[in-house]
Amino acid sequence: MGNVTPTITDILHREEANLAKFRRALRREDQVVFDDLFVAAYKHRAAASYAGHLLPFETFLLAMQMEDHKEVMCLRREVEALRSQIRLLLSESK
Amino acid sequence: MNQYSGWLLDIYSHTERGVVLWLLCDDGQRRRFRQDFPVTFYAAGPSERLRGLWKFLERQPLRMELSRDERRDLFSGSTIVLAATIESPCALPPLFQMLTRYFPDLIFYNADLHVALRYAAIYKTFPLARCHVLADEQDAIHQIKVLDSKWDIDHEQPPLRVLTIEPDADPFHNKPGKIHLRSQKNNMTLDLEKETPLLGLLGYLLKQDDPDLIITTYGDTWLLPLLLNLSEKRDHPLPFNRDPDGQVSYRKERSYFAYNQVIYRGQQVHLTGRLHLDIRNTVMYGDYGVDGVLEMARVTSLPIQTVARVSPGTGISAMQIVTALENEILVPLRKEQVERTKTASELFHDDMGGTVYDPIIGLHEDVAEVDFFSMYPSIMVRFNISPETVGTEKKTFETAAGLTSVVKREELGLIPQTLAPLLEKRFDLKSRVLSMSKFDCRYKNYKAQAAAHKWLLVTCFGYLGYKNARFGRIEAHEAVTAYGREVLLRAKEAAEDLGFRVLHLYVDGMWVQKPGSRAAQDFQPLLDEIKARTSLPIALDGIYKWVAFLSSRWNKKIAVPNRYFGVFQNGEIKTRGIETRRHDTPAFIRETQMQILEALAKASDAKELKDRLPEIRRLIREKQTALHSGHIPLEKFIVHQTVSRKLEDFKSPSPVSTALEQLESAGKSLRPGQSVRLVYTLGMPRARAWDVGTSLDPRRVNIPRYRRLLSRAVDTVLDPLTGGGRSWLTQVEQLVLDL
Amino acid sequence: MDDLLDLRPRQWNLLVLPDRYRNRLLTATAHLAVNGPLIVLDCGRQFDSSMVARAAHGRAEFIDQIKVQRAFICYEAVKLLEKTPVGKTPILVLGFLSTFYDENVKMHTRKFLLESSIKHFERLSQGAGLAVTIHPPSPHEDFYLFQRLRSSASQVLVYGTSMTKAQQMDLF
Repeated sequence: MGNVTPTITDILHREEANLAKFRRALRREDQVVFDDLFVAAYKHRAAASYAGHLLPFETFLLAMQMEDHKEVMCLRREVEALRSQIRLLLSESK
Repeated sequence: MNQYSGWLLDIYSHTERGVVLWLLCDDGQRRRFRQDFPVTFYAAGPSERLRGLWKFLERQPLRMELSRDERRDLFSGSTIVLAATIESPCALPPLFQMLTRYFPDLIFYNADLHVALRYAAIYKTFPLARCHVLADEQDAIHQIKVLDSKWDIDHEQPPLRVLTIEPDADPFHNKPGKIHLRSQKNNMTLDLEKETPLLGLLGYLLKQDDPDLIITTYGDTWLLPLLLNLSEKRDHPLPFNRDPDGQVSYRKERSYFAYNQVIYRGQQVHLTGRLHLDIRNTVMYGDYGVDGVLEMARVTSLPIQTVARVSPGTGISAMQIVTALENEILVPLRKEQVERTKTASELFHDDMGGTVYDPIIGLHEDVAEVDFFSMYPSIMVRFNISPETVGTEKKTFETAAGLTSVVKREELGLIPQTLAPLLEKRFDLKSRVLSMSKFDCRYKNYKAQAAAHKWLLVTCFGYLGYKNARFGRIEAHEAVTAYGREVLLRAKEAAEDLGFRVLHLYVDGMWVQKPGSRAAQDFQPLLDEIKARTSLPIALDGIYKWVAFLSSRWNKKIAVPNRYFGVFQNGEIKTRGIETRRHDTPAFIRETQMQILEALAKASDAKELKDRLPEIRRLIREKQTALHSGHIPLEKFIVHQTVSRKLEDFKSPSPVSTALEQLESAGKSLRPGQSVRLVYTLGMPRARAWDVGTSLDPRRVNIPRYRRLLSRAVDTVLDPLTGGGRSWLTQVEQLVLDL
Repeated sequence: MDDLLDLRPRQWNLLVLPDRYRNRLLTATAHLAVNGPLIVLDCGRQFDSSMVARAAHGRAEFIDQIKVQRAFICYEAVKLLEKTPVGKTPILVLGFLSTFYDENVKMHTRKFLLESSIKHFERLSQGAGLAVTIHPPSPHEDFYLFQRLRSSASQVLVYGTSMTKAQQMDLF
């Protein structure tokens, strides 16, 4: 019946538009980071919609944080793997 | 008394009293019967106003019986009404129009119903039902009995005599010179210029063949009006109507806004005693053909000529009306319930749409697609969701998480009651089709029936929330979405608990993957688990050898929910949201993209895909050469676009407005909702309407623009396979594509 | 505090607002809810609960002071008014005429429904205050309905209808 409440995607776009001035004043390399954060929020909009938080922006922030943390975990695993390789090489060279 | 058996072709109001019925009798005769069939309508409101109505009706020059009655309103229960019964159903529409003018404050029930639906509710009839009739010497029916059911799948096929009439050109594009006529007995071509033989032979054919069904191309919008005008001008009657007292009825063309888009319906020409279908004005004809139209008529009880030209929403509404009439529930003109009061945060929660996940972008192997069987209608039936069962005070049934309204369960709701047999029939059909050879003679008919059901079932959910629905309620609509969300989440959890990775969730489908799972039986435990957790039927749609979920064209990191393509283990290609599926893609580009997909489909697994690239490379080179050397037929450049607004409402020039302007000056105007055909051209103007009348100079075609469109379509299907680059093309070829 | 919604007992205000005022209107609505309960009858798909929630900083105790009902066709709009009792709660009717510009409903019926609505506005204005918002009619819409409603209100406030199109100068 024609939802009056905007979809979660609309809300995300609105939040992004509200920050347009902020983004404009950022350096180009920081704008890329800014856009990446919104992509992260975009990825989890199904969950944000289901959560139905009265201030969806809070869930968007969490989604950004989550994607960041995913990256950290991934890098951590990689560092671990590299470390053990180095250990192995060192023990072989001894 | 005489007895007849046969198929019921049509029912309509008699011009004086009762109804006319046409029967295709078993002896080959087409008989017209008449039957007394008084109809009753009701009015409710303040008693002094009802007294006023009573006096008003008494003054009418109509045979009418008036009484005070108590009837059941679906929502308010037992209601005191004024009941008015008239002998002549055809007198009701004009009378009712008057009543809404003089008594706008009264609530009218059963006042605007098609007589075929009223008849169906009493005698269980439907178009092409097998009937047994007892009639007197004047062919007045005394008894009628229906011998089969609309829910039968393998019903006997009625011996319809079909005549097809087709002009030799699209009248909007070029003036046709001839018409081709084809029936079981005859096959002829008539010259439209030679009016005397045209009328003579056509009249002869109509009498000789006496068709039950006339299938035309452009019959509504051009051919029948032309022929009927000519017949009048030359005073040479054409027996298009079989009913000697019947009139040809015309319905005007119109554009309206529904389902978030502008829809256009052309003028309609309805016949009496025979049926006329214009395949260009038949909804979903391309999807399900005549078999689908007949099935729509069976399940909805709407006359065949009507059902062919209305939206599936009207079909669903008709089914609900019949259920209501059968249960002696009053049928209002529109719903009388307003939304209940909600707090602002309840509104915020309830008004959410369905769950749409973003797929995981890229190419995936051994992916199973599992689909809930007609999820929304199944939810309505399983959880008894209906306008009158949702939002009641008592909570008597498990409700979906986050749903603020409660659902009553003691009594089967009107909507579930209407949908249950339809769902069951579709389920039966689907299971039969699955276990059937494609060459089985029933296969095509089953597919058409299933397609008709699909449209009704897809629509019934939206219709629940449609503002002009007779039996709608926003809370019921929201309840279905809430259950839908819950069901999908439970399915996701079941999959993850069993070790599957969920690649995508969309409306009622889920795409899952698990290393080592690639046979149907590997997914059976998942289906069982989902069924146990949701209590809804779910099936394996197929296992993909590989499937690619695509990113947005604007941002490669963002996925698009319904944009993917893949190849099932049986070699079948499935595409959604890409150029081949879009109606605004020129044929040349659609074909090329499909050919690439067919070449890819030959690979036995994802690793072999790269081996197909040399073949694809040759294919693209051929297409480019053809494009440059002018070997592509002009019609393959046509782009179809829907006219979204009137010409004067375009703010800035666009290809569509340019084409509309050209058409307008050629004396051909299009209305919103109609499709305009255009070709992109070089220089100004940038587009040319295909139907403008004069031929297009091939040198004016905007080849660079088509090359860009081609390049984009190629990228869509190759990007996920090549990791985004086109390194396998030579540099020169890349340059050509990029131009 | 925005003076857009200045609801006073025993009178009814008609606010003619172009759509670009919606954000301001909903913010003012959220602010009213901070002071106490409020009834909103949304007849024009105006009440965007996410905007109101944002304006109230997501505080449910304020947001839920607002009780909303929506109408999607003109019959429903009248029914909403009919069912709303006069009381101590101020009433805000949003986008009232929107459902009346519906060509599927005969003009005489729409006029009849509008007259009933005006009677209800008079009744409801006896309570804690009533504001009715409408958008200025577009050339396609029926001017009669607009004029009739306008002539019946106790106070009419017209906001920025004739937007002057300022010519943007080139910066350099």
